[in-house]
Amino acid sequence: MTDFHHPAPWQRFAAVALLSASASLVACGGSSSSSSGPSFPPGAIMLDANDLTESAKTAFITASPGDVIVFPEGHFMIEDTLTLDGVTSGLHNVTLRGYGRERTTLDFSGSVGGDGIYVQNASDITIRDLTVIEANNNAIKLLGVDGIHIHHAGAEWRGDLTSDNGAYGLYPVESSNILIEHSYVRGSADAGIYVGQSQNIVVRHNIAEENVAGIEIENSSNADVYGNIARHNTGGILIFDLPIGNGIYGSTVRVFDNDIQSNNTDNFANESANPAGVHIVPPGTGVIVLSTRDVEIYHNRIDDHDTTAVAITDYQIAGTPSADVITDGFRPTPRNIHIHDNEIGESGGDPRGLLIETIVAPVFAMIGEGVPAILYDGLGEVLANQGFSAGLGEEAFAADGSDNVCATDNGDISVGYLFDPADESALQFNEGEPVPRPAVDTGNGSSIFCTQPRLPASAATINGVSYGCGEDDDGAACQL
Amino acid sequence: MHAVRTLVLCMMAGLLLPACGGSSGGGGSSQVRECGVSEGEINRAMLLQDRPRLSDYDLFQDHCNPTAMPRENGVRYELTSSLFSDYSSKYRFVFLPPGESATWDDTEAFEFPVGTVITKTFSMPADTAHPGFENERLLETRLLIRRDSGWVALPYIWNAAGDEATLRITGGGIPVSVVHDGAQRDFTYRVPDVNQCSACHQFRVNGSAIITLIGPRARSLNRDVDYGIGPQSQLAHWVDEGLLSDAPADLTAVDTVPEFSNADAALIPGMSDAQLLRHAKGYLDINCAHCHRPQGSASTSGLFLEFWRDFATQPTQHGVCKRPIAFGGGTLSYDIVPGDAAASILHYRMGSLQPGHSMPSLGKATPHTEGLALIGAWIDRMPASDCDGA
Repeated sequence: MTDFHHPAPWQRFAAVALLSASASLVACGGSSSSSSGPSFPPGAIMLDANDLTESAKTAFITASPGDVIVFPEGHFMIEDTLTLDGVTSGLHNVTLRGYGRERTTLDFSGSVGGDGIYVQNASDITIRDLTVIEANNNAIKLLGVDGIHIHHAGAEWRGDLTSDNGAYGLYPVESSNILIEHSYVRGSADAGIYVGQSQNIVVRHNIAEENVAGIEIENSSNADVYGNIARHNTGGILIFDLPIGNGIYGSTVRVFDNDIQSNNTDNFANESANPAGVHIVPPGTGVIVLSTRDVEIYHNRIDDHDTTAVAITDYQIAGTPSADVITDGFRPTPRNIHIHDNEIGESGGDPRGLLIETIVAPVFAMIGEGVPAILYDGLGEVLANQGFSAGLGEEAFAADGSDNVCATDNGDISVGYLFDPADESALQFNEGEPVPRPAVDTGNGSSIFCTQPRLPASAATINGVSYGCGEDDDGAACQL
Repeated sequence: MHAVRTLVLCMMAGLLLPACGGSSGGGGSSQVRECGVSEGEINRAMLLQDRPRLSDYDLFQDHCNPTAMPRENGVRYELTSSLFSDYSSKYRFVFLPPGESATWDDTEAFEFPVGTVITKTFSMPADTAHPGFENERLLETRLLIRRDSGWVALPYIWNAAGDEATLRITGGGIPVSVVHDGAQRDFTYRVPDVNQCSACHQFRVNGSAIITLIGPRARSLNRDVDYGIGPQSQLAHWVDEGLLSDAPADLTAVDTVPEFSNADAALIPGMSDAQLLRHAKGYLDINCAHCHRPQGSASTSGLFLEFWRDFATQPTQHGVCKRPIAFGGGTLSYDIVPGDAAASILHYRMGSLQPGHSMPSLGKATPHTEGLALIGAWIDRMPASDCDGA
């Protein structure tokens, strides 16, 4: 693999001179996104390498539809958040780009702003061929944008993995029609790729490594996450629903054909006791589904995890959602989850992390078991079926099985539950806390051996072009 | 009388500021006009353009003093409680097109007609104990111009001589020094760039967004102002002057943000719980809610702080035992831990200056001691809870 950590030597003056001299740029030979050097359309706005913050701000503020704004080649200190805002102009079809992910590096370590690049209230925005490093907060944030194509881009915190690193790397939020591909994220103290409160999402062929969460889809619906490499994070891929209280909750997420490997990095998020923050992601976890409905996890290669390969969990395991967020539409219990045809390798060799050490591992130890490869808490299902969570809007699981959490054909791995959904006896409580009744089975012999209907593919439409399985991609992954 | 007084002020300023009345102080090729009061009209044709110099619009009788003597029907306005801006003094004026008026709205900013211009000048006193134009250094004047396409926000930065302000769409930093409460504070005051302006001045609904005003709304304008004949109702004055239409007959019924000035911090311990709640909500409303509402740029946070939002029934939206959605720093767990301001993220971020932690994320280079005291007291006085089980 290419070494991501050594940017190309500074060539900015030469590159700018070359650009202003000629529209023919074959001499800029690079290796990042294509075999030849980048070429830019006529009229591309070439930013001034000698005064890049000011030059970029000016170009962003005066941007008009069709603009291609080009950051120069080299490593540049940026002094403030670079904001692109279409609120007055209905801005659409703007490209922010560099010379290549490894050739244009925007360093925000000395910035007075929180975020690196911040785009809002626009549509059809492309960000490509550049890397944002050392942002104080988020590297590249997009809010309220319809149509986002991020490709061959990077978001990195390159030093030690500490809680001082920024939050999200590539971060679309309250947006729609999002395609993130061929990008690289490293070092986020939260999630490297984080898509939140959004719809129509395709995240594919990216590398997320050494973040707390590699890839996270949160409070979002209609998302396909496939063909990515998530490795050496604390948790590889997270599908979360949180009680945000703004009426946006997630469903219909497919996670398939990903390489989810060795996500055993100790959690370096801030020490907040936030019960559902990434701080509680147990080191050594491949995939976590928290409270999201309609999730299909299939044909992934999930190997070498110290705690568990796949965890399906209810928000109630960490806390009780307040009445006003229930009124707002939040539901804590995951339903219609299908985990099938995954290649699951080693897991459970060194389980650790807050909830694991305090609850999960001791509970399974009571029955002489370790933490299972597929870990379903079962809490919400049992509470709902016995009528304890009607106040949270959680009715009993449907008799036809359509709400069930199912695991099928994942090999002879362990499948376990803190609250065995097959146990229909009355739940016992101790000082108000439900008493776990763990069980562990093997492979298709588990209590959650069942199937669910396949979920539909998701697609992102950007500048009138549709991306995703069945759109621009009919590859093998899309046939799984 | 009003004009005479400000004329004197300008003359004093002229003495204090040698370049005020003289040659070009700011560099560049354009001739800088002399300071001083002159007759004339607003150059309304210029309002269609993003002019390089503030004086091009001719909004004030003395173009070197944007704190007084507006031309034509311009009127200064005051808010009950205002957004903290690093202890700068703020001077707000609205200029309506001749013969036109703004339209009342119960909760949002009034609707102003095309052709309206609003100026807001930020001016830093040497000592906050002695504010006033003659004791202050002009920092920036922001224009909001209502054009056919909507509001446009333009930041003008004053030169050191104080005789011209120049459009700087990319904003900038101004090193300043101010004495507050006897202690000197040195920091870099930041003028927002144009796109940062709209981070606060936006209203998003159904996937589209517009630039909106923050201050000129009923609950913030409903206070007395002295127009030279003693205190009178600001809103009634606007109605009488023909600046505002469709206002309700009974202005006393408007649910009004309580007045809160820095001096009022001394009153906090004596406030009843109900008074403290209203003052805190008023402060959060003007300082935070332009972003922290479903239509603002912090909609994703789930922390919603509009004045009218009911605290009793929506504690989570106010941050009580609410977990942060995207706050990646610090070691705290909840936006508000009742009874414990020091453990509350909201209070921590208000006091922090660290980029990525500091709130508001724009426009604060030094903490607001009095605002922190107000919000701190409000949180500390809530019935204690460690939010367990929340």
